Amino acid sequence: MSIEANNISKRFGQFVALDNVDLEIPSGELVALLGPSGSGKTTLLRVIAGLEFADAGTVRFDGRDISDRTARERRVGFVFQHYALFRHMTVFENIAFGLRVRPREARPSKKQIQAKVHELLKLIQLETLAQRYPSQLSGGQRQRVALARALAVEPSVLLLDEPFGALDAKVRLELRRWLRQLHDEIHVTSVFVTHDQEEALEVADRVVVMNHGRIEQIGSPEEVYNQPATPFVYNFLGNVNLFHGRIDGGTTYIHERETGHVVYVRPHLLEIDRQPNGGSHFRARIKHINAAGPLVKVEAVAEWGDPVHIEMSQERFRDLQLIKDEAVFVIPKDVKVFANHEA
Amino acid sequence: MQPFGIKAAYSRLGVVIALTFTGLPFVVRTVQPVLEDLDKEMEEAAASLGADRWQTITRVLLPAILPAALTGVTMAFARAVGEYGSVVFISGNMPMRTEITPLLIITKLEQYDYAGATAIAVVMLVVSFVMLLAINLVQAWSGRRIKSSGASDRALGEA
Repeated sequence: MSIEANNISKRFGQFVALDNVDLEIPSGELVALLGPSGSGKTTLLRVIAGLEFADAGTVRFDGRDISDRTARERRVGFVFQHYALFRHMTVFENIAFGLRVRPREARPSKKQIQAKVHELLKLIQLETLAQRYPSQLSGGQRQRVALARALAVEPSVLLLDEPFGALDAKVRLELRRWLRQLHDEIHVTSVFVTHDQEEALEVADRVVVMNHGRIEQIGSPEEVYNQPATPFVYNFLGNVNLFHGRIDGGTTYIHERETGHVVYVRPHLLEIDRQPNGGSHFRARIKHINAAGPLVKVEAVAEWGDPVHIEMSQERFRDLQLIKDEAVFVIPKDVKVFANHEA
Repeated sequence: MQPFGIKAAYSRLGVVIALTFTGLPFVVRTVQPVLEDLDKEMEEAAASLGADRWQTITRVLLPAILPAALTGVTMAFARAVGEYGSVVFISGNMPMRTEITPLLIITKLEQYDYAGATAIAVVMLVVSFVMLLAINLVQAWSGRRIKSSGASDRALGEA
């Protein structure tokens, strides 16, 4: 089912959570709402779910206006960050809940419910734990149960609010790959909220980057990463070095403070060399080297005194034999320039 | 309540009212923190799964507060068994109508009828034990169902 949100605004007292947001999600897509805390991503998700009502704007499912419908009437599957499992029910009862509370006419028979729950238990790979209580499960298992519970009612859309936020790093990685696979199998339109850019870029078909209650950019993971529309997006998706600069006849000059441009360079797009290779470069002094991990992270101080972060491969690092306090040349391979609005 | 034709003072209803008033705070104080602690998300989850208000209350909220409510009832009961001051004021201790056992014991004691007082007390003790046992059994049953989440999950859970 496709989702359309038009001109959604929502305030909490003085705080503007959503400021005239427009979002369209085609049927069957897996979309990530990405942003820092307070960016309005969770509020937008809750407005779509009907757990929160917008002050202005409309929400449509498949073109039907459902702005005034409650969560119950919208038939959405909602997965909470802290699982919100029913503590006094077993895994089986939790998953069966949505089917058991249906009005008598629409309620499946006991046998059908049992079959459906077992099918879902199989899907989440927890068949053996049907009779456990939520308190006897690990975090990752609980979240999978919460997902199965939401899927049991065959929702028109699946909404997940920071589904992996409360899990430790390893489980989070496993679970998000699993979610991706699951979506490839069942193709229900899904929206998940996250503040983890890696998670959004890895899992989603499309990423919606939000900040201050507005949408900064909507695009595929490649698009938002490689062609960020705003400085915020560039900044938020990955590490970045920031220089002041100006553009003059197609040439970018950095470190010219009086001018109105900000130059962004990703750490891995800066190269270190002992010789200036003829192209653009600046001098820097190495302050700190962190060689743990797939990339070597070098912290240097540019000739004008600003810190610069540079990443390079282990091979390159071995070739260069860099040492602390060494003076080197830094060569930017690619930069992104935005007009500076704050200046 | 006189104008409504309900007679509270000097009646059995009075006894009930007096004991409810002394017992209620125990229930409120034990249930309150649990209610406050209840996740709003549980209600929202129930709603998103299609439960109406009534189903949410009976199937999600009440079972969640049941153990605390039972604890409160136990304490209120223990208090009510021994309570007589407030009951005397409102029900007047009229023979065979609004008398309560604790008062009977006091009366017997005042008449130096120690054997009588002891007899009543023993009966009451037995009744109290049986009641407490019953409440404890219910509590144990519901406690088995709701284990405090957190603490022990790691040891039991990981697959």
